Amino acid sequence: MSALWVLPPLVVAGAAARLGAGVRHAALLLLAGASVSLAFAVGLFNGVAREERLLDGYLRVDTAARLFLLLVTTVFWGVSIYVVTRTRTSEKLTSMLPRFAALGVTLYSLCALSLLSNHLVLTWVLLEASTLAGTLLVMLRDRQAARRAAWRYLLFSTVGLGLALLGLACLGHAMGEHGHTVTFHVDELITRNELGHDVWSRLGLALILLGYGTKAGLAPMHVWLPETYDEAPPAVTALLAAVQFNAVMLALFRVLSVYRAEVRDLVSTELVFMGLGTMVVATVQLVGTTNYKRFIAYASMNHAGVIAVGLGVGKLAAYGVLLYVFSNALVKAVLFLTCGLIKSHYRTKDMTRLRNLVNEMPFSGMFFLLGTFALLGFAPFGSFLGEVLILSALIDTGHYFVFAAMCFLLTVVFIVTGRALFPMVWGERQQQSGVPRESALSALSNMVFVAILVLLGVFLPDSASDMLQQVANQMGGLP
Amino acid sequence: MNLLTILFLVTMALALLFSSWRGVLVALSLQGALMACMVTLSTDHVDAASLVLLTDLVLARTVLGPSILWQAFHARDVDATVEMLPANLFLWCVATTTGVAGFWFAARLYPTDLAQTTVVGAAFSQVMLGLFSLVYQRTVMGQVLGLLVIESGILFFEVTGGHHLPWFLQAMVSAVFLGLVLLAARFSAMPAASGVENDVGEVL
Repeated sequence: MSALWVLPPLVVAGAAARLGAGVRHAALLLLAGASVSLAFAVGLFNGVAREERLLDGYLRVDTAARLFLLLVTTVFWGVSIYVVTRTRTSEKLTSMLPRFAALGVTLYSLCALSLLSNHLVLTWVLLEASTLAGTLLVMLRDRQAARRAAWRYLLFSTVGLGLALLGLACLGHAMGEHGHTVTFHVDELITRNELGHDVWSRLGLALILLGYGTKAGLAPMHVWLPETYDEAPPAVTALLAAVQFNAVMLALFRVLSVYRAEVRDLVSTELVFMGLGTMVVATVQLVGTTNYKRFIAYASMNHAGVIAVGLGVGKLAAYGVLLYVFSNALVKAVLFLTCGLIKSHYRTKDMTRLRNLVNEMPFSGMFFLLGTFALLGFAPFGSFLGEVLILSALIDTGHYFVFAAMCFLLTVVFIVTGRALFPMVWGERQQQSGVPRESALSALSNMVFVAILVLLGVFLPDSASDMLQQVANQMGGLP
Repeated sequence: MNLLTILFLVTMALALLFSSWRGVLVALSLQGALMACMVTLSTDHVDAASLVLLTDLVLARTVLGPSILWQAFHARDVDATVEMLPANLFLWCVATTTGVAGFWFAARLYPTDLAQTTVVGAAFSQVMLGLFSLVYQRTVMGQVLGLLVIESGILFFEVTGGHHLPWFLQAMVSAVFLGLVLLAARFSAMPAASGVENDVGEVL
């Protein structure tokens, strides 16, 4: 079975949903396509796929691709369930479904292909193309604020990816200058083990880092993220934050894996500064916001900062970073999808106007609470373990100042989050807001996400742990 | 090659110093044509990759990209003036320093190779000046033009690097560029929404 079987069910479903199927059928098609794709992704994860290289080596099914493909397909499946249940509860949304299905499937497919890509330029092209689809998704509702956010997202993403492309061109220059054949195939670059001796390849790495960092919402090019995550429909925000973000992360991991470990030390300071800077910006913004969706967006930025710091630490923190990346995707999916349900019920994003969520919307209240706990890095969630591993790696590598700064910032986030979000969940009821439109089906995706989050923190099967360790070793750089 | 590089530098100056969106688009179009000439002159044997690259440069960068934006801006009847670098002595000093820094960097890398210094310097200067100009653009139109200046600088660096991407990858890069231009044109053409913003509606 080929890894590419993950995509056709969804592509067919998306196309059928766009081209004339009735809305009810479009919803079912999307869900069916996502479910079949998820089944294929699970099969792939379990090692059903035999071939390693596809399409003349431009695609490759390695451990990292299997893990990330399963993650993003699970998130897409959850988003599909959310979208289907939302359209069943609201007539107004049904007209948006065919367009969402087509664009959402396009975004997912491009990101999934980028996960399988074994060629650095192909990965770049797929990420740029997914940005175009993402832009159209952000302005699914044609409001001025959404347009503004979509344009800002496109502008920053394009500039960031442009810098990354310039970095890739620098890598090509580096190879050409030394008389080597220019290749961007990741496995060939790993075998050659030649990058990092000269200015061009180091400059290339720095530019790629800055470019992909922009796409991931790291400071100093982060300003697009809170506005985009806030203005995009929640289903789209979940796709951007959990699917596209992870495609960018894997692209970054792959670039880091082709460099020698000692060269990576040169950019570790850049990564740590970008990470800490992002955490500072996110924490300051968290203090001032009363919009719960934007609040989660800033918290996502904070998480991206933790990931960057972890990457800067290097090999020792790599396993923790991976665990954190996986948990982070699921936490964001849980929280953004729950935000969508809460907003559709209360018709406000102002957290000061919401109280007693756990009684008025039991499912959403519970998942918002669990998501917040996972967001804060509580046990037993995977984010707890990931955070602890990153922090202990900081101590082991002698990054005491970074450790102290990170602990301080995480404590501030903890206090601010508790002060802002817990009254929303438990506070005194102020007024009844009608009967909430929640169903067990709408809670299914969040239930699965939370279960995986707990599994990541409490019990990780040996095979999955071995796979994570294998990817972590690759991320650490070449010997 | 050197004459073409000098012409590229002249068009870069035109793109940044002309206070007119028409001037910037013409300069970008000329840069596409100049890069096509460079590829034609430096290609020893014609293969699929160089053909697709040439098609990209002539069709997408020289003709389609600028003309799509021209039509979009023209249809909206926007103000003809757009200052890529605002007329301000301080900013012009900073911009000049930025441009010189690109050449200084190139000279450090190739202290004895003037041709290579000029090529790399031109590419990096254009990218840095494009980034600098973006900081001051407040309109979508100005930002689109700044973005294209950066893109053109990056492409110049790629084209002069001597390595061509496989034909299908180059075709994908070209398609993505055209997609970006179409989307940018759509944003430029969007009228400002009327009425009060209302964010209490249903959303997926």
